[in-house]
Amino acid sequence: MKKAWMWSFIFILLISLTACAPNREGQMGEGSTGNNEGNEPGQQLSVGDSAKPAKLVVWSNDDSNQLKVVEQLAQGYTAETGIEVDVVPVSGSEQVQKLALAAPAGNGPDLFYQPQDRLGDLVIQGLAEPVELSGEESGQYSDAALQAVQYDGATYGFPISIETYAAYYNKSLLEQIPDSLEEISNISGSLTNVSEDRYAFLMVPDFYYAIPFIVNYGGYIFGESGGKYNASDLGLNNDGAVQGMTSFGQLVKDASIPATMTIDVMDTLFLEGKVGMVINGLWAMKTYEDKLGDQLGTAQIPAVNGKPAPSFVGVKSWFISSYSKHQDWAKDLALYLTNASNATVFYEQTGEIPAHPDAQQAIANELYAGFVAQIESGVSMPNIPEMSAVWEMDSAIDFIVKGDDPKAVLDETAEQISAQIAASGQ
Amino acid sequence: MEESQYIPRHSTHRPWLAMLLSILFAGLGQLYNRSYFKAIIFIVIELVFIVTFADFIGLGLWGIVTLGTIPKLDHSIFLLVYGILSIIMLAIAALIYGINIRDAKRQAEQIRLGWNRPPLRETIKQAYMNSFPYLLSVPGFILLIFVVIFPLLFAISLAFTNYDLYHSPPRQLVDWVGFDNFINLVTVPIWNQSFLKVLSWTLVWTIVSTTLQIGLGLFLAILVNDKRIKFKRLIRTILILPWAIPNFVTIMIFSALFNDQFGAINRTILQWLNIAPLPWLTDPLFTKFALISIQVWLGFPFLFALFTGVLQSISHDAYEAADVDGGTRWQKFRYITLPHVLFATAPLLIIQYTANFNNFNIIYLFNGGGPAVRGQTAGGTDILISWVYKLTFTTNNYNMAAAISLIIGVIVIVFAFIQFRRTKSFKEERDFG
Repeated sequence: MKKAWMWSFIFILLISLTACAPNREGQMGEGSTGNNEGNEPGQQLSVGDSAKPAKLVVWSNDDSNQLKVVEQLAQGYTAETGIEVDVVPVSGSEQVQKLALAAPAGNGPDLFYQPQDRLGDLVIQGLAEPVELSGEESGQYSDAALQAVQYDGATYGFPISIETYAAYYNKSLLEQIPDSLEEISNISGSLTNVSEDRYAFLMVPDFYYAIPFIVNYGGYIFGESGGKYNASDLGLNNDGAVQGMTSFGQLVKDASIPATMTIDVMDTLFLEGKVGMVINGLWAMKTYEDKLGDQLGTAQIPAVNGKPAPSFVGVKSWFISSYSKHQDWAKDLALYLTNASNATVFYEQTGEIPAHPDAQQAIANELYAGFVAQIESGVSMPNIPEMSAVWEMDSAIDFIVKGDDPKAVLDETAEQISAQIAASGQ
Repeated sequence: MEESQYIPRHSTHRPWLAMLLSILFAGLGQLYNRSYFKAIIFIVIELVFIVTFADFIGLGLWGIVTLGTIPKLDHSIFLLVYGILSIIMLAIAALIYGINIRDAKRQAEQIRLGWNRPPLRETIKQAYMNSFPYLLSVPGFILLIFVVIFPLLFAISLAFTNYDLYHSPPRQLVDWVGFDNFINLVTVPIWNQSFLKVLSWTLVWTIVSTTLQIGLGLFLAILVNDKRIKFKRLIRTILILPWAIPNFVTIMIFSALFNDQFGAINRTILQWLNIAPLPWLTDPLFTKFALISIQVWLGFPFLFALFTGVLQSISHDAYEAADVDGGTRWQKFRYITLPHVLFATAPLLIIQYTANFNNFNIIYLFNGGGPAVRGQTAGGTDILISWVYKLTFTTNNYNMAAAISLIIGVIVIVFAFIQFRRTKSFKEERDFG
């Protein structure tokens, strides 16, 4: 008897199930064809959008300094245009994930904030809208910054600030930094004494900081053609890269840099005045300046292989949500937030190097000179998602620093990176 | 109706008809049984359910089968969620429907046997009394469904999809792929290369670190519980201290202490002992040793506190009896202390093992699973869970993460289930002794 009931439920459920599905399918079909026509990349939206919206929503990074300045600038925009701007703090690292859920449901922002290395993820998930910038509009951003927010030949973002790493040095130990990193061994002798924790030069042996050695000797991460990266063309184990990594291994050895060097240890030693020069990001400046005061100097990273050292450059940027109903006005707001005077305000409040060339030039603080110069020779970090597999190079550098054969290590690592890219499901 | 007047009415009442009517529409059987009040409740419930949820369930079932057909318009992950919710709601509805049918049949059988209907008030009172425990537990049960069962079903479903970066809504749709992920796990080199190594270290890690922390906790508890020890309270407080400091702080500090070049262990302690610096963070073997020591340090205070509590509750009579019989110290421990302690704490000890099996924090924070090992994607000290984390974050394979998590889940569940079944402390009291 029990079984009979079971079967009868199942039977009834099946009837209701089959009854519902086709009905729903019809609805979906109709709804979608209608919507799809209108939804061709942003056209319908931009045409019907000249009317002012009552409100624009901006997802700002939740860093308190950044949030404060964005709120302040947004008020200025409201005063100028009468459009209310709702600034919502959402942690930068969580924005992409939240956006993928909130935006299609209609709860997303018009404008959101991301560093450029997430751009590939954004485009693949269809969350960011490409933008057309007129000559005057693109004049608001330095070339390096604009370059970084390109994906597949289209421009996506409105760069806010640029970050990179450069050389900090302690003027009481080093009057002048050497011309090239390979010459470190010349100054190394007098300043380095490992048993007393004294070092002429320290850097963290990670791929992020070692990239100048790949690039300047003829290696590359991904091949590039027509503004597009080719992920199947890895240049991390070509002859140049092997040579560069050999030279890097030599540098670490000459300068007696410990293989387990971490940022924390490096910072501590530099702050104690035991290190002549370190390579670190802009974010460390405040701590260094507070402790070392006048003794602190910054400079472009010394040349590698006779050429200026190209550091990785990251660009923080505003992006227009593909689901924004007021994309024209979102663009207007983004341009406003990053114009010359506002970029200066942004720099003053956050200490980040603005992407606006004029605002960049106007920086009075001498310590920024080294960084602004460094950005000139920087390379933007590839913004395609395949980049995440490339960090496997950190392990390769560990092995090379330990003394393994660079050629064998790099071949092996390049193979692993290719395998990971293949396994990522593209 | 063609019932004859000579036969008492109740004997012609047909249970199968009541059942059939209730199957057709909830409450109809009760109507036939003339339980009007119940009938109205069932009819209203079914009507409300159909009116309120029919659209949603239709969408949900369609969604979970197809996961959407038009990119950008259909959001596969939403549809999957709707689908799972619909199935849960249908399951609840089926349960109520089943109750309805069973009730119609039972009541019809009782009527046929000449049962007299008590007054309505009496029925309601009776029903309330019978259902009272269920009424109380329903809110908790519903919470359980949404907090535990729903996310579990969601994660399990993901393991059978191709949800990765390149199949991410809203722009792309997610599709069902059956067992492909599990097949890839054992056939694709970057997955299977490291799997066995990681699994074996995970097992060694779990068994060695947990057993040591239990052993140390027990040893110290017995020591401190001895009558001859003075300042018990002070000693206990000190021994609990490692537990009082947040785990991650301890791990970070240990990570600094173990630093090859600058850590206090190589610099001060080993130098003082005249031992050359050891490669704590750069040689996998030493890192493993360091990790196990740190876990013992982190884990023993809880067990120490636990065992201390149990030891104090063991009656002295048993020991006195043992003394009279001339039991040795070891015999007293083996036959009195140990059975008592294990009986009371076995479930918690099992949890210790399963927790260490998935102890992500310590592996990740101490050395990020490192040092790196040539020729494999996993670091030298990666356990399954930290390896999964690495793989998902470098290759954005949410589907793979779900698949491996499912395997981890199954291992832990099987292990825990067998242990729980074999542990006497989970048998109900009446089955015992």
